[in-house]
Amino acid sequence: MPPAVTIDRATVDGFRAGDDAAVRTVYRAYSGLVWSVAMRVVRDRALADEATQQTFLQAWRAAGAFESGRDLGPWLVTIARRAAIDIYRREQRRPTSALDDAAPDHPALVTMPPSEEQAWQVWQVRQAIDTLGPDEQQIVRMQHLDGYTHSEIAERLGLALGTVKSRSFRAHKTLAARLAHLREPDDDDGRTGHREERAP
Amino acid sequence: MSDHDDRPFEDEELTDEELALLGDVDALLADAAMWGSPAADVEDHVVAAIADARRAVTIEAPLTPLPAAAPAPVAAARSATVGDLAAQRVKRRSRWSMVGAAAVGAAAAALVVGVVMRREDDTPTTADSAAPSAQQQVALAGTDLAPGVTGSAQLTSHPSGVELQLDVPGLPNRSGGEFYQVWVKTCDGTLLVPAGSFHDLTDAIGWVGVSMDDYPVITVTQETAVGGKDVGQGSSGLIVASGTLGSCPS
Repeated sequence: MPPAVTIDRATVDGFRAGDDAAVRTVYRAYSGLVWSVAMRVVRDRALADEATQQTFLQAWRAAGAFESGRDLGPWLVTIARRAAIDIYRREQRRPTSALDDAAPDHPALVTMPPSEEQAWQVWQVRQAIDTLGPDEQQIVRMQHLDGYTHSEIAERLGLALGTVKSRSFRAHKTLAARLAHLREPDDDDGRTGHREERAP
Repeated sequence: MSDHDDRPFEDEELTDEELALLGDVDALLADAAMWGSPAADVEDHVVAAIADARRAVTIEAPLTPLPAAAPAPVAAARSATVGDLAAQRVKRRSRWSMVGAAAVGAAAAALVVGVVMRREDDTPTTADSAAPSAQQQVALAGTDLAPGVTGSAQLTSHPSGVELQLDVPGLPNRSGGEFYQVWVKTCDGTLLVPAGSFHDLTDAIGWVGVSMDDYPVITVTQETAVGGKDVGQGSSGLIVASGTLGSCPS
Protein backbone atom coordinates (compact mmCIF):
# COMPACT_ATOMS: atom_id res chain seq x y z
CA MET A 1 0.00 0.00 0.00
CA PRO A 2 1.45 3.40 -0.91
CA PRO A 3 2.16 5.72 1.98
CA ALA A 4 -0.77 7.93 2.94
CA VAL A 5 1.61 10.85 3.27
CA THR A 6 3.58 11.76 0.21
CA ILE A 7 6.21 14.44 0.05
CA ASP A 8 7.67 15.35 -3.31
CA ARG A 9 11.37 15.22 -3.95
CA ALA A 10 11.76 18.98 -4.15
CA THR A 11 10.27 19.34 -0.68
CA VAL A 12 12.59 16.68 0.70
CA ASP A 13 15.52 18.52 -0.87
CA GLY A 14 14.23 21.75 0.64
CA PHE A 15 13.95 20.11 4.04
CA ARG A 16 17.51 18.89 3.71
CA ALA A 17 18.62 22.42 2.94
CA GLY A 18 16.71 23.74 5.95
CA ASP A 19 14.33 25.79 3.86
CA ASP A 20 11.64 27.11 6.19
CA ALA A 21 8.71 26.38 3.89
CA ALA A 22 9.90 22.84 3.23
CA VAL A 23 10.50 22.24 6.93
CA ARG A 24 6.95 23.35 7.64
CA THR A 25 5.55 21.16 4.88
CA VAL A 26 7.34 18.09 6.18
CA TYR A 27 6.43 18.94 9.75
CA ARG A 28 2.73 19.34 8.93
CA ALA A 29 2.69 16.09 7.02
CA TYR A 30 4.37 14.02 9.69
CA SER A 31 4.12 15.74 13.06
CA GLY A 32 0.98 13.93 14.15
CA LEU A 33 2.50 10.59 13.26
CA VAL A 34 5.76 11.42 15.00
CA TRP A 35 3.90 12.65 18.06
CA SER A 36 1.88 9.44 18.33
CA VAL A 37 5.01 7.32 18.28
CA ALA A 38 6.66 9.57 20.85
CA MET A 39 3.60 9.66 23.07
CA ARG A 40 3.44 5.86 23.14
CA VAL A 41 6.94 5.93 24.61
CA VAL A 42 6.94 8.87 27.00
CA ARG A 43 3.25 9.03 28.00
CA ASP A 44 3.41 12.74 28.64
CA ARG A 45 2.19 15.44 26.29
CA ALA A 46 4.98 17.92 26.99
CA LEU A 47 7.66 15.26 26.62
CA ALA A 48 6.02 14.02 23.43
CA ASP A 49 6.16 17.58 22.13
CA GLU A 50 9.84 17.75 23.00
CA ALA A 51 10.49 14.41 21.33
CA THR A 52 8.64 15.63 18.25
CA GLN A 53 10.91 18.65 18.02
CA GLN A 54 13.99 16.51 18.56
CA THR A 55 12.85 14.13 15.85
CA PHE A 56 12.64 16.83 13.21
CA LEU A 57 15.93 18.35 14.29
CA GLN A 58 17.68 15.01 14.17
CA ALA A 59 16.03 14.24 10.85
CA TRP A 60 17.35 17.50 9.44
CA ARG A 61 20.83 16.83 10.76
CA ALA A 62 20.84 13.37 9.22
CA ALA A 63 19.05 14.40 6.04
CA GLY A 64 22.26 14.23 4.05
CA ALA A 65 22.17 10.47 4.39
CA PHE A 66 18.54 10.17 3.39
CA GLU A 67 17.93 8.72 -0.02
CA SER A 68 15.85 11.03 -2.17
CA GLY A 69 12.67 9.56 -3.53
CA ARG A 70 12.02 7.22 -0.63
CA ASP A 71 9.17 7.53 1.84
CA LEU A 72 10.24 9.59 4.83
CA GLY A 73 7.92 7.60 7.09
CA PRO A 74 10.02 4.56 8.05
CA TRP A 75 13.01 6.82 8.57
CA LEU A 76 11.12 9.27 10.75
CA VAL A 77 9.48 6.60 12.86
CA THR A 78 12.90 5.22 13.73
CA ILE A 79 14.19 8.64 14.69
CA ALA A 80 11.03 9.44 16.64
CA ARG A 81 11.19 6.26 18.65
CA ARG A 82 14.85 6.78 19.52
CA ALA A 83 14.35 10.43 20.41
CA ALA A 84 11.44 9.53 22.66
CA ILE A 85 13.38 6.72 24.33
CA ASP A 86 16.26 9.11 25.02
CA ILE A 87 13.87 11.53 26.68
CA TYR A 88 12.14 8.72 28.53
CA ARG A 89 15.49 7.55 29.93
CA ARG A 90 16.48 11.08 30.84
CA GLU A 91 13.26 11.52 32.79
CA GLN A 92 13.80 8.21 34.52
CA ARG A 93 17.13 9.45 35.79
CA ARG A 94 15.58 12.38 37.62
CA PRO A 95 12.53 11.26 39.57
CA THR A 96 10.52 14.18 40.81
CA SER A 97 7.88 12.44 42.86
CA ALA A 98 7.42 9.43 45.04
CA LEU A 99 6.49 6.25 43.25
CA ASP A 100 3.23 6.07 45.16
CA ASP A 101 2.20 9.38 43.65
CA ALA A 102 2.82 8.30 40.07
CA ALA A 103 -0.12 7.82 37.76
CA PRO A 104 -0.74 4.26 36.59
CA ASP A 105 0.52 5.07 33.10
CA HIS A 106 3.58 7.01 34.25
CA PRO A 107 6.68 6.06 32.26
CA ALA A 108 8.40 4.95 35.44
CA LEU A 109 5.79 2.23 35.83
CA VAL A 110 5.87 1.08 32.25
CA THR A 111 8.40 -1.67 31.81
CA MET A 112 9.58 -1.36 28.24
CA PRO A 113 9.20 1.18 25.46
CA PRO A 114 7.58 -0.13 22.29
CA SER A 115 9.78 -2.13 19.97
CA GLU A 116 10.60 -0.78 16.56
CA GLU A 117 7.92 -3.01 15.11
CA GLN A 118 5.35 -1.77 17.59
CA ALA A 119 6.33 1.81 16.85
CA TRP A 120 5.86 1.10 13.18
CA GLN A 121 2.39 -0.28 13.91
CA VAL A 122 1.55 2.87 15.87
CA TRP A 123 2.63 4.88 12.85
CA GLN A 124 0.48 2.82 10.51
CA VAL A 125 -2.62 3.01 12.68
CA ARG A 126 -2.22 6.75 13.18
CA GLN A 127 -1.77 7.16 9.46
CA ALA A 128 -4.94 5.18 8.81
CA ILE A 129 -6.87 7.30 11.32
CA ASP A 130 -5.65 10.44 9.60
CA THR A 131 -7.13 9.28 6.31
CA LEU A 132 -10.63 9.30 7.80
CA GLY A 133 -12.87 12.27 7.33
CA PRO A 134 -13.55 14.45 10.37
CA ASP A 135 -17.01 12.98 10.97
CA GLU A 136 -15.72 9.45 10.80
CA GLN A 137 -12.74 10.25 12.99
CA GLN A 138 -15.03 11.72 15.60
CA ILE A 139 -17.18 8.63 15.78
CA VAL A 140 -14.27 6.21 15.85
CA ARG A 141 -12.63 8.26 18.55
CA MET A 142 -15.76 8.38 20.68
CA GLN A 143 -16.26 4.68 20.18
CA HIS A 144 -12.75 3.48 20.97
CA LEU A 145 -11.10 6.17 23.06
CA ASP A 146 -14.10 7.37 25.01
CA GLY A 147 -15.90 4.05 25.09
CA TYR A 148 -19.30 5.29 23.98
CA THR A 149 -21.83 3.02 22.36
CA HIS A 150 -23.43 3.85 19.04
CA SER A 151 -26.56 4.92 20.87
CA GLU A 152 -24.61 7.19 23.21
CA ILE A 153 -22.71 8.72 20.33
CA ALA A 154 -25.96 9.37 18.47
CA GLU A 155 -27.40 11.04 21.53
CA ARG A 156 -24.34 13.18 22.19
CA LEU A 157 -23.95 14.28 18.59
CA GLY A 158 -27.66 14.68 17.97
CA LEU A 159 -27.52 12.26 15.07
CA ALA A 160 -29.80 9.42 14.08
CA LEU A 161 -28.55 6.07 15.28
CA GLY A 162 -28.51 4.83 11.71
CA THR A 163 -26.23 7.69 10.69
CA VAL A 164 -23.79 6.87 13.45
CA LYS A 165 -23.77 3.21 12.56
CA SER A 166 -23.34 3.97 8.90
CA ARG A 167 -20.40 6.31 9.53
CA SER A 168 -18.89 3.87 11.96
CA PHE A 169 -19.16 1.09 9.42
CA ARG A 170 -17.58 3.14 6.67
CA ALA A 171 -14.80 4.30 8.98
CA HIS A 172 -13.94 0.82 10.16
CA LYS A 173 -14.10 -0.50 6.62
CA THR A 174 -11.60 2.18 5.62
CA LEU A 175 -9.36 1.44 8.57
CA ALA A 176 -9.40 -2.26 7.79
CA ALA A 177 -8.47 -1.56 4.19
CA ARG A 178 -5.69 0.83 5.17
CA LEU A 179 -4.28 -1.62 7.70
CA ALA A 180 -4.70 -4.85 5.75
CA HIS A 181 -0.97 -4.93 5.05
CA LEU A 182 -0.31 -5.37 8.76
CA ARG A 183 -1.52 -8.94 8.34
CA GLU A 184 0.67 -9.55 5.35
CA PRO A 185 4.02 -11.22 6.02
CA ASP A 186 6.20 -8.37 4.82
CA ASP A 187 5.67 -5.07 3.17
CA ASP A 188 7.86 -3.33 0.66
CA ASP A 189 10.16 -2.06 3.37
CA GLY A 190 10.81 -5.54 4.62
CA ARG A 191 8.92 -4.97 7.84
CA THR A 192 6.74 -7.72 9.15
CA GLY A 193 3.21 -6.46 9.27
CA HIS A 194 1.63 -8.89 11.69
CA ARG A 195 3.19 -10.31 14.78
CA GLU A 196 2.22 -13.83 15.68
CA GLU A 197 2.84 -13.24 19.34
CA ARG A 198 1.26 -10.20 20.88
CA ALA A 199 2.31 -8.62 24.10
CA PRO A 200 -0.21 -9.24 26.87
CA MET B 1 -31.12 -0.20 23.19
CA SER B 2 -30.25 -3.59 21.73
CA ASP B 3 -26.94 -5.37 21.99
CA HIS B 4 -26.57 -5.03 18.27
CA ASP B 5 -26.71 -1.26 18.51
CA ASP B 6 -23.82 -1.21 20.91
CA ARG B 7 -21.47 -3.53 19.15
CA PRO B 8 -18.24 -1.79 18.32
CA PHE B 9 -18.25 -2.87 14.72
CA GLU B 10 -20.95 -3.65 12.22
CA ASP B 11 -20.03 -7.29 12.30
CA GLU B 12 -22.84 -8.21 9.96
CA GLU B 13 -21.06 -6.41 7.17
CA LEU B 14 -17.38 -6.38 8.08
CA THR B 15 -15.66 -9.58 7.16
CA ASP B 16 -14.12 -11.86 9.74
CA GLU B 17 -10.71 -10.86 8.49
CA GLU B 18 -11.51 -7.19 8.87
CA LEU B 19 -12.86 -7.77 12.36
CA ALA B 20 -9.76 -9.71 13.33
CA LEU B 21 -7.53 -6.98 11.98
CA LEU B 22 -9.43 -4.28 13.81
CA GLY B 23 -9.27 -6.42 16.91
CA ASP B 24 -5.50 -6.49 16.58
CA VAL B 25 -5.32 -2.71 16.66
CA ASP B 26 -8.19 -2.14 19.07
CA ALA B 27 -5.81 -1.26 21.91
CA LEU B 28 -4.15 1.36 19.75
CA LEU B 29 -7.46 2.87 18.68
CA ALA B 30 -8.30 3.21 22.37
CA ASP B 31 -5.00 4.96 23.14
CA ALA B 32 -4.99 8.73 23.52
CA ALA B 33 -1.57 8.75 21.84
CA MET B 34 -3.30 8.00 18.55
CA TRP B 35 -5.61 10.96 18.75
CA GLY B 36 -3.42 13.83 19.86
CA SER B 37 -1.07 16.23 18.13
CA PRO B 38 1.86 18.36 19.23
CA ALA B 39 1.14 21.75 20.74
CA ALA B 40 0.61 24.51 18.20
CA ASP B 41 3.91 26.25 18.91
CA VAL B 42 6.08 23.20 18.30
CA GLU B 43 6.13 23.86 14.56
CA ASP B 44 7.64 27.31 15.07
CA HIS B 45 10.16 25.88 17.52
CA VAL B 46 11.22 23.28 14.98
CA VAL B 47 11.64 25.86 12.24
CA ALA B 48 13.57 28.19 14.55
CA ALA B 49 15.80 25.46 15.90
CA ILE B 50 16.68 24.22 12.42
CA ALA B 51 17.32 27.78 11.28
CA ASP B 52 19.61 28.32 14.26
CA ALA B 53 21.41 25.06 13.62
CA ARG B 54 21.77 25.87 9.95
CA ARG B 55 23.37 29.19 10.78
CA ALA B 56 25.73 27.47 13.18
CA VAL B 57 27.14 25.28 10.46
CA THR B 58 29.86 26.41 8.13
CA ILE B 59 31.03 24.65 5.05
CA GLU B 60 34.69 25.49 5.09
CA ALA B 61 36.01 22.44 6.88
CA PRO B 62 33.69 19.49 7.17
CA LEU B 63 35.01 16.67 9.32
CA THR B 64 33.06 14.05 7.43
CA PRO B 65 32.13 14.85 3.86
CA LEU B 66 28.47 14.22 3.20
CA PRO B 67 27.44 12.05 0.25
CA ALA B 68 27.77 13.88 -3.02
CA ALA B 69 24.18 13.10 -3.94
CA ALA B 70 22.95 14.56 -0.71
CA PRO B 71 23.89 18.17 -0.21
CA ALA B 72 24.74 19.26 3.29
CA PRO B 73 22.02 21.26 4.99
CA VAL B 74 23.93 24.47 4.60
CA ALA B 75 25.20 23.81 1.13
CA ALA B 76 22.00 25.02 -0.40
CA ALA B 77 22.30 28.62 0.53
CA ARG B 78 19.19 30.69 0.42
CA SER B 79 18.59 34.37 0.45
CA ALA B 80 17.72 35.62 3.85
CA THR B 81 17.39 38.99 5.39
CA VAL B 82 18.16 39.89 8.91
CA GLY B 83 14.43 40.26 9.43
CA ASP B 84 13.81 36.72 8.20
CA LEU B 85 16.36 35.29 10.53
CA ALA B 86 15.34 37.37 13.50
CA ALA B 87 11.74 36.36 13.08
CA GLN B 88 12.70 32.73 13.38
CA ARG B 89 14.54 33.21 16.60
CA VAL B 90 13.02 31.73 19.68
CA LYS B 91 12.05 34.67 21.86
CA ARG B 92 12.06 33.16 25.27
CA ARG B 93 14.41 30.94 27.17
CA SER B 94 12.75 27.63 27.73
CA ARG B 95 13.26 23.98 27.32
CA TRP B 96 12.74 24.51 23.63
CA SER B 97 15.56 26.95 23.34
CA MET B 98 17.80 24.55 25.17
CA VAL B 99 16.82 21.78 22.78
CA GLY B 100 17.59 24.05 19.88
CA ALA B 101 20.88 25.04 21.40
CA ALA B 102 21.82 21.42 21.85
CA ALA B 103 21.02 20.87 18.20
CA VAL B 104 23.23 23.76 17.25
CA GLY B 105 26.13 22.26 19.08
CA ALA B 106 25.59 18.78 17.74
CA ALA B 107 25.09 19.86 14.17
CA ALA B 108 28.13 22.04 14.19
CA ALA B 109 30.19 19.42 15.98
CA ALA B 110 29.54 17.06 13.13
CA LEU B 111 30.55 19.45 10.46
CA VAL B 112 33.00 22.00 11.72
CA VAL B 113 36.62 21.62 12.66
CA GLY B 114 37.62 25.04 13.82
CA VAL B 115 36.75 28.46 12.67
CA VAL B 116 37.22 31.85 14.08
CA MET B 117 34.77 32.78 16.77
CA ARG B 118 32.25 35.18 15.38
CA ARG B 119 31.77 38.40 17.18
CA GLU B 120 28.28 39.06 18.44
CA ASP B 121 27.90 42.41 16.80
CA ASP B 122 28.34 41.12 13.28
CA THR B 123 25.20 41.43 11.21
CA PRO B 124 24.50 38.78 8.61
CA THR B 125 22.92 39.86 5.37
CA THR B 126 22.86 36.69 3.29
CA ALA B 127 22.59 33.03 4.05
CA ASP B 128 26.25 32.42 3.42
CA SER B 129 27.34 35.25 5.60
CA ALA B 130 24.52 34.63 8.06
CA ALA B 131 26.42 32.08 10.08
CA PRO B 132 26.54 33.99 13.35
CA SER B 133 27.71 31.01 15.32
CA ALA B 134 31.12 29.49 15.02
CA GLN B 135 32.83 27.00 17.18
CA GLN B 136 36.02 26.50 18.98
CA GLN B 137 37.13 23.65 21.10
CA VAL B 138 39.00 23.86 24.37
CA ALA B 139 40.75 20.84 25.82
CA LEU B 140 40.17 20.37 29.54
CA ALA B 141 42.56 18.54 31.82
CA GLY B 142 42.10 17.34 35.35
CA THR B 143 44.06 18.94 38.16
CA ASP B 144 45.60 17.17 41.14
CA LEU B 145 42.05 16.80 42.44
CA ALA B 146 41.13 14.76 39.38
CA PRO B 147 44.36 13.38 37.97
CA GLY B 148 44.21 11.82 34.54
CA VAL B 149 40.84 13.27 33.71
CA THR B 150 40.50 14.76 30.25
CA GLY B 151 37.63 16.37 28.44
CA SER B 152 36.62 19.18 26.20
CA ALA B 153 34.44 22.23 25.97
CA GLN B 154 32.99 23.14 22.63
CA LEU B 155 32.15 26.80 22.39
CA THR B 156 29.42 28.13 20.17
CA SER B 157 28.69 31.80 19.91
CA HIS B 158 25.01 32.73 19.70
CA PRO B 159 23.32 36.12 19.66
CA SER B 160 22.17 35.38 23.20
CA GLY B 161 25.55 34.31 24.55
CA VAL B 162 28.21 31.66 24.34
CA GLU B 163 27.19 28.05 24.67
CA LEU B 164 29.66 25.67 26.30
CA GLN B 165 29.07 22.07 25.44
CA LEU B 166 31.09 20.22 28.04
CA ASP B 167 32.18 16.65 27.99
CA VAL B 168 34.40 15.57 30.86
CA PRO B 169 33.40 11.96 31.29
CA GLY B 170 36.02 11.07 33.87
CA LEU B 171 34.52 13.16 36.63
CA PRO B 172 32.23 11.21 38.91
CA ASN B 173 28.62 12.18 39.32
CA ARG B 174 28.01 14.49 42.26
CA SER B 175 24.75 14.75 44.15
CA GLY B 176 23.35 15.23 47.63
CA GLY B 177 24.25 18.89 47.75
CA GLU B 178 27.54 18.48 45.97
CA PHE B 179 27.92 19.64 42.42
CA TYR B 180 30.28 20.96 39.80
CA GLN B 181 30.41 24.60 38.86
CA VAL B 182 31.81 25.75 35.55
CA TRP B 183 33.37 29.18 35.27
CA VAL B 184 35.01 31.32 32.64
CA LYS B 185 37.78 33.62 33.83
CA THR B 186 40.05 36.34 32.60
CA CYS B 187 43.65 35.36 32.06
CA ASP B 188 44.72 37.06 35.28
CA GLY B 189 41.94 35.29 37.19
CA THR B 190 40.55 38.48 38.62
CA LEU B 191 37.17 38.27 36.91
CA LEU B 192 35.00 35.19 37.12
CA VAL B 193 31.69 34.45 35.42
CA PRO B 194 29.62 31.32 36.20
CA ALA B 195 28.51 29.08 33.34
CA GLY B 196 26.26 26.73 35.30
CA SER B 197 26.21 23.99 37.90
CA PHE B 198 25.95 20.31 37.13
CA HIS B 199 25.65 16.83 38.58
CA ASP B 200 27.98 15.51 35.96
CA LEU B 201 29.75 16.88 32.95
CA THR B 202 29.00 14.29 30.36
CA ASP B 203 27.32 16.11 27.51
CA ALA B 204 26.48 19.10 29.72
CA ILE B 205 25.58 22.49 28.35
CA GLY B 206 26.44 25.77 30.03
CA TRP B 207 26.05 29.37 28.94
CA VAL B 208 27.86 32.61 29.60
CA GLY B 209 27.02 36.13 28.60
CA VAL B 210 30.56 37.34 28.10
CA SER B 211 33.00 37.07 25.25
CA MET B 212 35.39 34.17 25.41
CA ASP B 213 38.01 36.47 23.94
CA ASP B 214 37.97 38.31 27.25
CA TYR B 215 37.34 35.29 29.47
CA PRO B 216 39.37 32.53 27.82
CA VAL B 217 40.03 30.36 30.86
CA ILE B 218 37.51 27.65 31.67
CA THR B 219 37.57 26.02 35.07
CA VAL B 220 35.47 23.37 36.75
CA THR B 221 35.24 23.50 40.51
CA GLN B 222 33.66 21.12 42.93
CA GLU B 223 31.20 22.82 45.21
CA THR B 224 29.04 21.99 48.16
CA ALA B 225 25.72 23.68 48.79
CA VAL B 226 26.11 25.13 52.26
CA GLY B 227 23.04 27.12 53.12
CA GLY B 228 23.82 30.55 54.44
CA LYS B 229 27.57 30.10 54.37
CA ASP B 230 28.17 31.06 50.80
CA VAL B 231 25.82 33.93 50.19
CA GLY B 232 28.09 35.28 47.52
CA GLN B 233 27.97 32.00 45.61
CA GLY B 234 31.65 32.27 44.97
CA SER B 235 34.00 29.60 43.79
CA SER B 236 35.21 27.05 46.31
CA GLY B 237 38.60 27.28 44.66
CA LEU B 238 38.68 23.50 44.38
CA ILE B 239 39.44 23.32 40.68
CA VAL B 240 39.12 19.81 39.29
CA ALA B 241 39.65 20.58 35.61
CA SER B 242 40.60 23.55 33.49
CA GLY B 243 41.55 24.64 30.02
CA THR B 244 42.26 27.80 28.06
CA LEU B 245 40.99 29.07 24.76
CA GLY B 246 44.16 29.95 22.94
CA SER B 247 46.81 30.98 25.39
CA CYS B 248 47.25 33.48 28.18
CA PRO B 249 50.34 35.62 28.53
CA SER B 250 52.70 34.09 31.01
